[in-house]
Amino acid sequence: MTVGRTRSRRSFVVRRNRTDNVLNHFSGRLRGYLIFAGSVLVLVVVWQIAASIVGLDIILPRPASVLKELVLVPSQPGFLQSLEATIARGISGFLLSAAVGFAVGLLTGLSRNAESAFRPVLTLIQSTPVMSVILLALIWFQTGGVPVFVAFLMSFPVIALNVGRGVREVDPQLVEMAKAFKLKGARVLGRLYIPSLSPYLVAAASISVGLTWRVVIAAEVLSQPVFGIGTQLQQARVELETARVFAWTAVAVILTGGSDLLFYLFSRLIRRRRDSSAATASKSLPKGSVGA
Amino acid sequence: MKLSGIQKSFGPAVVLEDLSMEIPRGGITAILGPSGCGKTTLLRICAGLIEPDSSDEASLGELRKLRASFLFQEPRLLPWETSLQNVELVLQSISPAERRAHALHFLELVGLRDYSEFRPAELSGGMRQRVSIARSFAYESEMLYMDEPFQGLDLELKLGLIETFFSLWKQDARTVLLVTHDVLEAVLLGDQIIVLTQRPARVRAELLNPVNQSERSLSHPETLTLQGKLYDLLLSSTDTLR
Repeated sequence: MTVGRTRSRRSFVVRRNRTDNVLNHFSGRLRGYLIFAGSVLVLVVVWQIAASIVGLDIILPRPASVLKELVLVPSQPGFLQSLEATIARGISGFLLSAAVGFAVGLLTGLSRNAESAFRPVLTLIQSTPVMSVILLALIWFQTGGVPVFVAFLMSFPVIALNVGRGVREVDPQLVEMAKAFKLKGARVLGRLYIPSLSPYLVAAASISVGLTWRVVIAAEVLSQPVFGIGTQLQQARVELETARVFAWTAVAVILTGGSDLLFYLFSRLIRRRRDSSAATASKSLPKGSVGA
Repeated sequence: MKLSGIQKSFGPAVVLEDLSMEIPRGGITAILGPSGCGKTTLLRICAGLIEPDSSDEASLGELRKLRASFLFQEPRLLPWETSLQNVELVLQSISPAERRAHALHFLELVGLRDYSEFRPAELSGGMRQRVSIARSFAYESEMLYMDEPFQGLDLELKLGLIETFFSLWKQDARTVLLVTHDVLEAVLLGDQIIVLTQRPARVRAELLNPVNQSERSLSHPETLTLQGKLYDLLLSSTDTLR
């Protein structure tokens, strides 16, 4: 009896191994999706139960009320303007911090003195609470500029520090080669530094993109420009429309998720283009290889 | 060209102390010395990549005025660019088409025309060094500095690369300064061979290669005699230190 059981189990294992090769990849993915969907479901159920216990939509709206509000939000007056305004602020803040962060990062990476000069500033900014920056910006700038300034100030150190680290990681042998052949600055930057920095740039930009939306919306809540997701959030809160607060939050989450996805696709495109050009090269491998 | 009074220390370690030598124009000078004797430092000082602590300014200035190309111990190619792009990288011409044609021509000379679209990772070690040779010759110069360029390759590859090197070098016979600790590289490449002592490096001997470039080979008796002589010099220079 025992012998029979082991034998059948062994044959089961063999059979599994055979099918595993084909199915493993697919089933691994499927399992991942199922766990993901299950996790979302648990979240919604817990939310529903909590909302039922609280019993007041003003304090914790039920998922259904939020969904209803989310469907209504796009048809509300000022929806598009708010979305556009926030996106425009986010993009300006991001581009500004990317440009300044890249320049400062390059400088600090190349020169130890510049590194010492900028370190206190960068450390100071990084350890300043976002709210302090927002409040000071409110004193200094007009309402629309506040979110842009805050987004810039919060994310440019991230970019500068990453770029600086990346510059110090550039292969010194290649740097010496560039120096030996007296390559022009633009060529060294474009063909040695930037390609070599690209993983650091991607990392810095993806952190900075996520940070930018959160900071821009927080600044909008306090600075109250005419249009903006933050303005809408604050208005909904004042009117005790908690379901609308949730709905606008969902809009912000979708915006962040969407830009993350765009960014991911973009960086994958760059990587794939590089890989595919390498792949086509090896496909056309000439016959009769060269000796050395 | 004369070099004299070159002095260089790194911290407390004196690497070069009052070193002087003569480098003939249009020939290949091989500087042979034990590992860590300061050969590479000397080469980098000559090329202007680092500064000596002191030197006879006039002599060094004359050398540094010359346009210089490089062949390093490692291929030092941009990993994200193709062979063609790597050679084209160092060319000065304004027109991209001209740069491309010039680079292709030199890739052809080192036998890598069919590999012009390959990236370094897709090439063998010997092929990468060929791309590097193509780059150093495609770059127009009066001087060529070589730092143990065939180090770490097996004998067959090394001989093949040396042959390629000569076929390119003959086209314009630029002045070559080569540093190496490999006696084989020195006897096959050097018209003049300068043997250095252990650190702090001093000139131990200067020899002229009695064998013609085209006849140098591991089966030529005079090459073998020279090789033996160089081994003796290297070993005895190590002994004097002990």
